[in-house]
Amino acid sequence: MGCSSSSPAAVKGSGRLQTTSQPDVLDSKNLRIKLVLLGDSGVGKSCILLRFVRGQFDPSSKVTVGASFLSQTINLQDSTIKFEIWDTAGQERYSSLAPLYYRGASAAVVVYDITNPETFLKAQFWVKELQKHGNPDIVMALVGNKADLESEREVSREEALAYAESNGMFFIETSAKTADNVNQLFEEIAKRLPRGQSSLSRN
Amino acid sequence: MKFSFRRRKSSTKSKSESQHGATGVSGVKARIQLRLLSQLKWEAYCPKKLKGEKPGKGAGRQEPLAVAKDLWSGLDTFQGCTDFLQSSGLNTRALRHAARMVDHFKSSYQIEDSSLSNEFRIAACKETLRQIAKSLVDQTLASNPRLESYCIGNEENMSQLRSACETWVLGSVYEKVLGACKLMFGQSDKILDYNLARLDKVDPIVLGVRSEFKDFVLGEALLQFRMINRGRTPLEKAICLQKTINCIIEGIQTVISSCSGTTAEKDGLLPCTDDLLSFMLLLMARSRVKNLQANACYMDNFLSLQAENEQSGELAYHVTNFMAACNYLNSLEVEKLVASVSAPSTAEKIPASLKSPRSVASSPVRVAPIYSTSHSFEPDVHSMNGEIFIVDMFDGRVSGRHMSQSEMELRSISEKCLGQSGLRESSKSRGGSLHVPFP
Repeated sequence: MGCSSSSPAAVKGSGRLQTTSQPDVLDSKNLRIKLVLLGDSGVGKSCILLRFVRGQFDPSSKVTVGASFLSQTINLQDSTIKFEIWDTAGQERYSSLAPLYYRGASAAVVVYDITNPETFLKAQFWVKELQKHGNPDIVMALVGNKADLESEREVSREEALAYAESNGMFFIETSAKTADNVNQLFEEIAKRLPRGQSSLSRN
Repeated sequence: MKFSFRRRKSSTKSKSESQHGATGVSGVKARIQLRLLSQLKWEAYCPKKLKGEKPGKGAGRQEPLAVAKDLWSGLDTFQGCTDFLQSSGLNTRALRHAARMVDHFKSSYQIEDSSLSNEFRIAACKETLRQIAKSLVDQTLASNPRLESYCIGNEENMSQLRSACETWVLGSVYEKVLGACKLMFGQSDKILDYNLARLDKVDPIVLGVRSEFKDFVLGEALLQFRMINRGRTPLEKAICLQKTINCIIEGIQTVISSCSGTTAEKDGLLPCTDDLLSFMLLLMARSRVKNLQANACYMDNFLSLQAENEQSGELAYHVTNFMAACNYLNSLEVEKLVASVSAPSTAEKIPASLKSPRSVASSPVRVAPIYSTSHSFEPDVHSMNGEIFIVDMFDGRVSGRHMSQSEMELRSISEKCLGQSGLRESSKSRGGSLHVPFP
């Protein structure tokens, strides 16, 4: 388990054409970003979300709409990142609606369950969708959840890592149950976000 | 030679200049009075934190405003924003200028022009309104140094000022813009209403509601949701959605707090997006609110005209859920579901008492959608040919009967009128894309 990163190829393009999905630059040290969680039903998206939000210390920075929309601020060494996390519907019947949710997202976390290979296939589907229809500058993370269930593992770490690297994503395995790597996931995303770009796209 | 007015003799000013000077003095007094009045209003409504503080000059004074406070109370409504902008006489000129632009927009802008695509019309309208709102912000800041000192360098206050100006502009053009949205989605909204009338009867589980929430009473959320058409601005409507969802979440949290499970079990009951979408479908089916897609289009495109990222923020999330529910209701899956709920041969299954014209006429009819056979997306289109479906608002019953000759004529006139109203074929079939800059 741990954070494995691919090459910095995750951040591509100049970002001039679709700048509305750039992080909102509140000032030079504060960013506000929209992050979407994608993944099949039951992989633990909401659990990761709740674990991340509850693990933080600043209660004033939280906005929660059940387990579907949450806002959380984290401090890095030199900046503050306010994550605005949008859960997406995981049921198959709602899968065609996902593009409505990932419009304007600066980061996407694609989650699968390491004990269920079907969810890994579905994760690959979401990655392709994001590559096709999402923002070209989006920071994507592939997350294998339920890493505490090692004995029931059916998706190997090597396979997932190879897939992530080949698609310019970073890969991490988490356990929402034990909180393993949950904070690291969001910190790594925060580090990879493009900085210093003005979001004043319309002017 | 005597002069009745020595001043006039000694003065080098002409008569007209003197008169102007006299009115100028009274004008100054009036302006002072107006400013005092504005000051009193400001003191009354501005947050305590800002009261009594001397406005700083320049952009560097951020210290007293470090804590985010509301710039004015009630900025979430059109009336509140109007009060705010009218609270200072210094804003009058900017407001008057914006009002002229709004009038020009209302009188000359051809948003209803059906020769252009819906997407193009909305995008152009949006850009024009954005420019008007931006101009109002800039001019207000330029003419009101006190407000400028509160907003420049303070992103929170600036954002509130932008939002207030947008709300004022959008509230002023509400009839025209929402009217255009209603025209664009009129036909597909009627079909949505028809589908929802049938879905009202289905088990909530079929709509995706979890069995744990099956018996959840929507009462207060329904009341809240029904108020969506009272809002003039996209902000008011989006806040209505937010309050509706909050009612649901509060209800669920009451249930959760009364549970005696572990934290993980309780977390499992927290509503995720799947749940909120399903509840939204159920609310739409139960509430019988009209013009859902027109409202969705209005909110989605005009909620944040000046924001850096329109698709961010909690309100945007609620609007997205609302949009998603509308889109889902147009899906093939729902068409199949609707068809299974009420078979195409409805007329034969309806009790004879309901089929008689008298019983139909005596029922509290609110909507009588008349469908054309040209709508190939309608699952039971063929069986509906020659039938009128009457939706009873109070118990959701749908009754059918065969059309009389006069009704057939009425239908042909109706179709003709709809054609003249400028609905494109794509709008008729699906209502088009609700969001213009869809990826």
